[in-house]
Amino acid sequence: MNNITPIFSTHASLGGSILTSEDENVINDNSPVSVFAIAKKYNLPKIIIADSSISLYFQCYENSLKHNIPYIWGLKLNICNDAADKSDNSIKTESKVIIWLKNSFAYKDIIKIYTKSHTEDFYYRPRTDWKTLNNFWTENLSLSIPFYGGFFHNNFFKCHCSLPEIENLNPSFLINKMNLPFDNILEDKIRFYAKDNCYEIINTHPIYYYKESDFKAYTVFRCIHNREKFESPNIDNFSSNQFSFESYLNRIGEKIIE
Amino acid sequence: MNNLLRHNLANKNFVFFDFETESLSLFTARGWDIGWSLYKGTKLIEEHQYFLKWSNLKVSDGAAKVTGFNQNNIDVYGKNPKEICDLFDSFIYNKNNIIIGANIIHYDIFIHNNHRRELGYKTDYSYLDRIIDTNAISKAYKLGIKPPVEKEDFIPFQYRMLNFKQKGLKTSNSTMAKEFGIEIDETKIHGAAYDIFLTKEVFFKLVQCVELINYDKI
Repeated sequence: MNNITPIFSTHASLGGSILTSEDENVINDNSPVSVFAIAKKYNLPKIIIADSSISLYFQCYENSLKHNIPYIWGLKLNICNDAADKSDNSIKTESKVIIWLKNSFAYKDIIKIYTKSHTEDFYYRPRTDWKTLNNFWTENLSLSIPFYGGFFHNNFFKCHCSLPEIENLNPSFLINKMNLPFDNILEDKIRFYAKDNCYEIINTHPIYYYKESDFKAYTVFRCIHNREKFESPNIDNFSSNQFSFESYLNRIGEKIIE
Repeated sequence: MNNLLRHNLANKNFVFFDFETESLSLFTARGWDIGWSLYKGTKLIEEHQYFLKWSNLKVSDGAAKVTGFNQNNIDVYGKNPKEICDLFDSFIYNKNNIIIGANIIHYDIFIHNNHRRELGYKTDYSYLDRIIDTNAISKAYKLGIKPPVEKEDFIPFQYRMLNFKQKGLKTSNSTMAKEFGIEIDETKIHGAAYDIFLTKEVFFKLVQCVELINYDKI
């Protein structure tokens, strides 16, 4: 039974994915792969996309209409304890969230959060704080706490001190199994907390490239973005090629179609 | 030794290990020099050191210079990687053994996984909860932080220590060895066997300074 939700990221997430949201029907070996081409080829009932930039939101919207593939779009955003604190200590209070747009009215709501995160609250990178998130929150939005980079991961494994204010946001917690050493430990902690507080848990599979063999290209891409060398990417825990669509298929008992 | 007795560590088995590798890539790098030693308390039981004869080793000039890589050693003395990796796994996956190394949580466990993947084995980090990373414990020691008592919190604690950065906080094996008054032969650093020796020496000094978890729970 397939109870794993694939969540794609596209090249709109700068440095985060080598998939695109281009208007493509086919998958070619010698060119970037579009999430819409994947959806077409594998008859996905819908595409779920989480990106850290809203720049290609309308491209996703248009291609979704054109290809008649429903899509759900979410914004990946850094949240800190206090965005007015522009110090290195405040970086240690950051964690990631995904803000999902539940309907077309949500775009106006997300733009307010996005604008503030890219202007007034910006510190080295776009971010906002829990107070802002709560202030701008509407019923058109829903929240997920990602497995990697969420406040549980950062507080338990990265020496961060994120103090989430999520009581009114009713988040879901995403669980991944990506062959990283601490996956089981992190999963146990999240499940315990979510069960205790009656939060929903969703098993997901984040996807940043098409095949497992694309990991090399993805590594090169990440190294260029980080200004590092292929032999020493210098990215913590960068050891798994499971963030692929192929790996997702393997998990649900299916195979890549060549 | 007093700390070992207090925490019943004198009767515990410790496996110290280290790799010298092709590169710093956590996904592609393979070890060409592997060493490990089994101790019961402070008593050496057995030690192993092998060159691994992987096909098409790619060691950069810089890495070769630092680690003393010599392809001729691999060609002449290199062993079948599967044979050695299977032997190594028999120590690592033995639940009676506490696994110790310097910065292994952030590096060597991935190299081990790369070996397993190359040999067609599945990823298996199940020994993670039996790991003590001397780099993490050295940071705790220097910062005056007491590790958690409960075993289930110890691994996340070590991750937090490894991710904690502070200017001037140096906790490499050679730095800690010098601070503990352990004599170092600089010419031998970055060889697996000697690095294991240093790790062992540093660890047995650390347990005298840092109260570690109750190992009866392992």
